[in-house]
Amino acid sequence: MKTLLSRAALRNSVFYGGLILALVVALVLAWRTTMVSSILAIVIAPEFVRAALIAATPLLLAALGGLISELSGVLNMALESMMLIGAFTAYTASDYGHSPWVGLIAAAAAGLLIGLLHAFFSITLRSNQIVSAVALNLFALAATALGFRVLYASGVFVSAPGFEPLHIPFLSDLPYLGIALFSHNILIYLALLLVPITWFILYKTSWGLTLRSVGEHPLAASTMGINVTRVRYLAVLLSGAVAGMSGSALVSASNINAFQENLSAGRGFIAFAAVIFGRWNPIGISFGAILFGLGDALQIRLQAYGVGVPYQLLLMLPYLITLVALVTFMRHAHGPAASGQPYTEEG
Amino acid sequence: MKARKLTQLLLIATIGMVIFVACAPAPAAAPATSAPAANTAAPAATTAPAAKKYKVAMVTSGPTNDQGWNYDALRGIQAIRDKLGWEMAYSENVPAAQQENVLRQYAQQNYDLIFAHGYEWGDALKAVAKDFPNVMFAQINATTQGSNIVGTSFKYGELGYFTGMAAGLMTKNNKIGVVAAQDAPQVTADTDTMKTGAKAVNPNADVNVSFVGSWDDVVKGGQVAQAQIDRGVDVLIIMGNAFTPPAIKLAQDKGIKVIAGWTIEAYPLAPNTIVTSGIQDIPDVYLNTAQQLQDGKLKGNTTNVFGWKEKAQYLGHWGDFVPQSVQDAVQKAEAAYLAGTLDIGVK
Amino acid sequence: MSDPTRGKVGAFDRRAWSRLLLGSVGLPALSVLVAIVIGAVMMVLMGFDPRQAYAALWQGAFGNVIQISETLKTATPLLLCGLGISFAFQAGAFNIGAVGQMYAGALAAVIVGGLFPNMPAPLHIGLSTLAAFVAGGLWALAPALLKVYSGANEIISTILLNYIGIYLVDYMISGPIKIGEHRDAPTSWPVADSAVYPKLIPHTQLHLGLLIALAAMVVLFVVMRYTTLGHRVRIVGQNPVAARHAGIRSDRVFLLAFFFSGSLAGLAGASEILGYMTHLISGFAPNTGYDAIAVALLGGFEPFVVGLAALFFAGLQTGAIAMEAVARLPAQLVGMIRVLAILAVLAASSPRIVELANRSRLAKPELPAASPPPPVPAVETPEIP
Repeated sequence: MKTLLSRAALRNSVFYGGLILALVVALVLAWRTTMVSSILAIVIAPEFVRAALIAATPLLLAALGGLISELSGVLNMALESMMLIGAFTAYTASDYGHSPWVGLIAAAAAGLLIGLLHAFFSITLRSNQIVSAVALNLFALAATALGFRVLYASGVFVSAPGFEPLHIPFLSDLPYLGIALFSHNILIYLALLLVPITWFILYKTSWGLTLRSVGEHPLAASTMGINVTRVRYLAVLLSGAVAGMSGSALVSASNINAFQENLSAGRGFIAFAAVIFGRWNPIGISFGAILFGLGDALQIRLQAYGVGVPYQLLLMLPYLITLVALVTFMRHAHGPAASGQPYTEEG
Repeated sequence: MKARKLTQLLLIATIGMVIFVACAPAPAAAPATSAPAANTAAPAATTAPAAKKYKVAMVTSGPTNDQGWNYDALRGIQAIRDKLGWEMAYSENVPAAQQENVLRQYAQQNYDLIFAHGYEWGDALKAVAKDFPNVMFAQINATTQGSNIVGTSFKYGELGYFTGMAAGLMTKNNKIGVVAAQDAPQVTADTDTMKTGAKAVNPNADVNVSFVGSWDDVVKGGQVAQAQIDRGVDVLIIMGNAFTPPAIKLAQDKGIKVIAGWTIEAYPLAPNTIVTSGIQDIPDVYLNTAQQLQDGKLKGNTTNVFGWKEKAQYLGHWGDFVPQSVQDAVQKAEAAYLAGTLDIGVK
Repeated sequence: MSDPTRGKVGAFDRRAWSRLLLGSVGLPALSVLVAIVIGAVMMVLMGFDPRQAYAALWQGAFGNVIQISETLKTATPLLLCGLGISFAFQAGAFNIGAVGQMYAGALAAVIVGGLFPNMPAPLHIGLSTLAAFVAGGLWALAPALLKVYSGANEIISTILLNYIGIYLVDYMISGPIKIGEHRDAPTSWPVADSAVYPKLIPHTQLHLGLLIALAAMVVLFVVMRYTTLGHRVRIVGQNPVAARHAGIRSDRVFLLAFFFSGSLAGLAGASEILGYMTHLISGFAPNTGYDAIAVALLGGFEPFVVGLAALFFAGLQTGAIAMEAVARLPAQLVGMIRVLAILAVLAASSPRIVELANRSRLAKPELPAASPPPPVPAVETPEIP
C-alpha cells in the first residue's frame, strides 16, 4: 500500500470520491429541488474545473511538503505557517523584485527558514511536534502582520506582479479542456508536475529509500550507518521550501496578487489533512487536494448561481467534505511508524 | 545545584526588571521619545484659531490597512490632524473583550474626542462614558444614548440604489454580480436597493449577490469575483474592505467593468475598468464632528445623520469609457431623489 | 512528579513539590524574561522606548483595581480552555479544537440563556452553564469517537470542527437566533437578565466566571493528583502499554479526556457570553482556543501553574491595550512580543533543555525532574479497535 496506489485502491478512491460528491449535491438538492439544472450547469462547466485546480494548487504544494517531512518521521502541522510566511514573502519579494519568480524563490527560502525552526524544536530540542507547529503558526500570524504593517503602512493598495496564464498553441484552444486544463499559469503546471517527480524521488531513488526508512525504523536505519538527525533535518527543510512555495501559489495562482493578515485562513490545515487522506502517497495526495479544491469551488459557485442555501452553511462545505472524506478513507490508514516521536540515541 | 543557581538568577532578574520598570519615565506625560509618525501627531500649521491643543483618539475593531472601513477611520483622524492641527492616536484590531479597557485608557489621558468606530462599541461606550464627563465620545454607525456620546448614522440604501442604476445601464447582457462581505443589515440594505435600482432602468437585469463571508479575505474575494465572471456577468459591484482592490484588478484582467464601494475612490486604480465608485465619506464625518467640538457646538444625546443630502454619500469619478447618457441619467435620478420626487426605498 | 504507582496518593511530597515548582515555573519564567528582552530590542529598533512601553504594560495589566479586574476577566476563558487542554494532554491526547468547543458552548449558553426569561436566576444560570458544559463536551467527543471507531485522525477532525463551529455560529446568529431588532452586524438574541452572571466587583466586568475557572483549577488538581481517575489518565498518557496491562481501557480514558477537555472549553464560551457579552456575535473569540494551547504549555500542563500562565497571558493582552494607547506601540509589535514569549517557553520546556538543566542533579537521565510527561501523541498510528 505504500508504493503506487494499487488498482483496487484507486478504483475505490474514485468510487468513494464520486459517491461523496454525489451525496453532497444530493443534500443540496434536497434543500431546494428547483435548482437541479443550475447545479448541473455549475458542475459540468469547464470554468468550474479550472477554478477547482486553482484552489487545489496551494493545497497540493503544501501537502507535498508535508509528505516529505512526515515520511521522515517528523510530524509537520506547521504547513499553515509555512504557507502564510511564504505568501507574505512571495508578495513582498515579487513587489520589490518586480517579478513573480523572485517571489517564488523567496517564498521557498522563507518556508525553509520556518522548516529550520520546526526541525530545531522537533529534532534537536525534542519538543512535542504538534506544540511546535502550533507555536510556529502563531509566530507566522504575528510576524506577517507586523511585516505587512511595517512594509505597507501607507494603506494604498499595491498589486504585485503575478504569474500570467500561459497560452499553449494547440491545447489552449480545445473546446472544453482548453479552458479547464490548459489556461493556467505556470505555477499550477509546476505543482502538478511535482507529483510524479515527488513520487519518483521517494520510491525510485536511494535517497527516497533512506528517507522512508528513517521514518519507519530510525533505530534500524541508524545501525545501517544513516545519520537519522541529518536526514530528518534535510527532509524538514525541503518540506519547508515546498510548503513555502504554496504561499506563492496562494498569492498568484488565484490571480489576486495581494496580501492581507492571515491570508492562508486555515488552508495549511486542510493540506495537512490531505497528506493523511492521501495515505502518505503523492498520487493520493493529489486526489485529496483536487477533491478539496472541487469542494471550495463548488461552494462559491453554488452561491453565485443563486442556490438558496444560507451562505454560512455553504462556507462549511469544504470542511464537511474533508471530514466525511477523512472518516471514509481513514480505515486502516497507517502513517510512517516513527512519525511524531523524537529520536534519541537510546532508542 | 544548577536548579538553585537558576532560582537565584531568576530572583535577581525579576528584581532587576522591577527596578528597571519602576524607574521608567511616567507614561502619562507627553512622551519625550520619538515614535513613528503614523501613530503620533505632527501638527501642521493650520488656520484654526484655537489656542488649546486638542487631542483626538480613535478605536476600531479591525486593521487600518484594510483599504476600507477601518482605513477610513484612520484617514478620518489624519484629516483632523492635518486640517485642524489636533494631536491624534489610535488603537486598531481591538478585540471585543478589550473594548471598555481601551476606551478607558484614552479617556484617562484626557483626550478631548474619542471616536469608537462601529456599531459594536455601543455597550462599552455606555459603561465607560459616564465616568469621564469631560470627554466627548463619538460613535460611528450607531445611536447610543449618553450625555457625552454623539452618534452618527448613514443612510444605507442610497449608495446601493444609484450604483445599481449605473450597473443596470452599463450591462450589455443583463447579468450583474455583486461581491459582498457578509449579510449584515447594513450590507443587505444596499444590496436590496441595488436590485431595485438596476431593475428601475433595466427590467431584465439579473442581479446576483454573493457573500465572501469576511470583509478581508482577499483569496476568497477573488474566487467569488471569478465565479461571477464565469457565470457570465459583465458588470461587478464589489463592496468589501481588503478584498476590493485585488478583485478590481482581477476583473480588469478579464475585461469586466466594476463599480466599487463604499470607501475608496477606485478610479485611479483602474480608469478603464471602474464605472464609478460609491463613496461613504467617513473622513468628512470625522472632520465635521471634530470641527463641531472645536466650535463648541457638539452635544451629547444626538445623532447626526449623514447621507446624500449632507454630501456624505455620493458617486465618485466616472470611468473614461462611461457614456455621457448614462452619467446624465444617474445624475437626474440623484437630483430627483434630493428633491423628494424619487422614492428609492430608503427612509 | 511522584510516581503514581508508588503509593504516594494523598501524601504531601515536599521534594516533589519544589522540583515541580522549579521546573514548571523556573525555566519557563526565565525564558519569558528572554522574550521580554528581545521585545525590548525590537522596540528600540523601531524607535520606541522599552521602559515606557513596559511600564505602560504593567500599569495596564495591574495598575489599579479596574485594570486588575480587566486582566482577571480576560484570564478566565484562557484558564478554562487551558485546563481542558492540559487534562487532555495528560491523557496523551491533543485537543486543538478548543475554539470550536468554546463556540459550541457559547451557542448553547446563549440559546438556553435567551429562552426561559422568567426562570429564577440561580436555576437559569446553572442551566445555561450546564448546557454549555455539555455542548462543548459533545463537540470534543465527536472527533474522539471518530478516532476510536473509525481511526480518523483527531487532530484534523478537531481543526475542521473549529471552522465548522465558527460558521455554524455565523449561521445561527443570522438566522434562527437572530436578535429581534435592527442591528448593524449579525447578532444573536440577548441573554435574559436572569441568566447573566453576577459581577464580582461593582462597576467592572469581572464576573462569576472567574470563580468557576478557579474552582475548575482546584478540581482538576485534586482529580489528577488524588483520584484513581486522575492516575488512570496519567498512566494512559505516559505509558499506554502499561495501562493496557493494568487493565485500563485506554479508549474509554481517551474519550473521557476529550469530553472533559471540550466541556471546559464550553464553559469558557459560556463565561464570555453569560459574563459580560450577553449577545453572541460573529468572531467573539477567534484566538482564545489557540492562545490557551500556549497557556497550557507555559503552565507545564499543571493546573495551578496553568492558572499563573493564564494570568500572565491575560496581563499581556490587557496591558497591550495600554501599551498601544499610552506608549503608542503598534498592535502588531505587541503581538510579536507575545509570540516570542511562546517560542521561548516552547524551547525552555523541551525535553532536551530540561535534560541539560537537570543533568547534574539526577542519577537517571531519562527521568528529567519536573518536566511535563512527554506524551505519545496518538496521532499517526490509530488503534484498530
